[in-house]
Amino acid sequence: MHTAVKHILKISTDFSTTPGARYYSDGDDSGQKFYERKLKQAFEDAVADDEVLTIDLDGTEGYATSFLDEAFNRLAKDFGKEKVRKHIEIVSTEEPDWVEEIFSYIDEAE
Amino acid sequence: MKLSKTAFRILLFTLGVAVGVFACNYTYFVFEKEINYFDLFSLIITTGLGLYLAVVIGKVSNKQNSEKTLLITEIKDSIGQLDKITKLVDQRNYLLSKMVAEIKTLNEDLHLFETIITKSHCRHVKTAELRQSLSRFRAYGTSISPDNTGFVHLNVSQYASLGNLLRNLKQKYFEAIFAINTI
Repeated sequence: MHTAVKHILKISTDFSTTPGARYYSDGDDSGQKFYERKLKQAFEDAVADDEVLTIDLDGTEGYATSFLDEAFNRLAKDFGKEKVRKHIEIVSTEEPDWVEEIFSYIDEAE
Repeated sequence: MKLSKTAFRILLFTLGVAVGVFACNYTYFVFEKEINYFDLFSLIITTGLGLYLAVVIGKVSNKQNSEKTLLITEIKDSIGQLDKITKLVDQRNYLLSKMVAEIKTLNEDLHLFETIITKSHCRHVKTAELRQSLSRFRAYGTSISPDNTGFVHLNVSQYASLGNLLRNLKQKYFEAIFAINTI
């Protein structure tokens, strides 16, 4: 019997409680760093297991739009919008409006 | 000497009886000895309506006023938070992380407001424009690239744009207060 593997990426504990701006050049814990060192691999692992990666936004000091746009827009560009939509779930009880906004970044990827 | 409620009621009743006895026996007024049933019925209806208005309608009105006060207090707190953010912007140089944290507080407060207003009698007050205005400000205010120490340095154009977005957001908060007061 196949047991579903839980793929969870909680940004506050797995990456940083103070996410930064967009690029490495903008300072510590940028969206670029988050994507390249955490999000991309976590997503690939979830896709390999044909599971959903749950990304938990709670517990940080807040997010810059540029951070989330860089991370998720790149994810959609590299893997395709449909695949990303199929394999990720965004969770935020503190700022639920981020969920829709992040999916708009995904949809805007070319 | 402070009277208890019961003692006060007894005193009031006794006073009423005393006034009635005095009026009937020691004044120039002439009182009908027979009961006019129509007048009695009218008196009961009027008294009943008065009590209904005072107790039931008054209770509903007090509840609604309490809800309005709570909602308006929440908005005023958010305007206070917005003023903090405005002071940050006015410095023209701010830590991006500080701005992000202040905006998060404002956003969480707006989510709380959106939740409680749907459970109040003001549930028809629209908050979508307020939400959109905050999103626009957040998008612009947190997307300006900082230097490598995390500080954002606003040029003239950025400062003006942020100022406009903040004023628009403050206006939306005040419009929400006006909408609540109109209900």
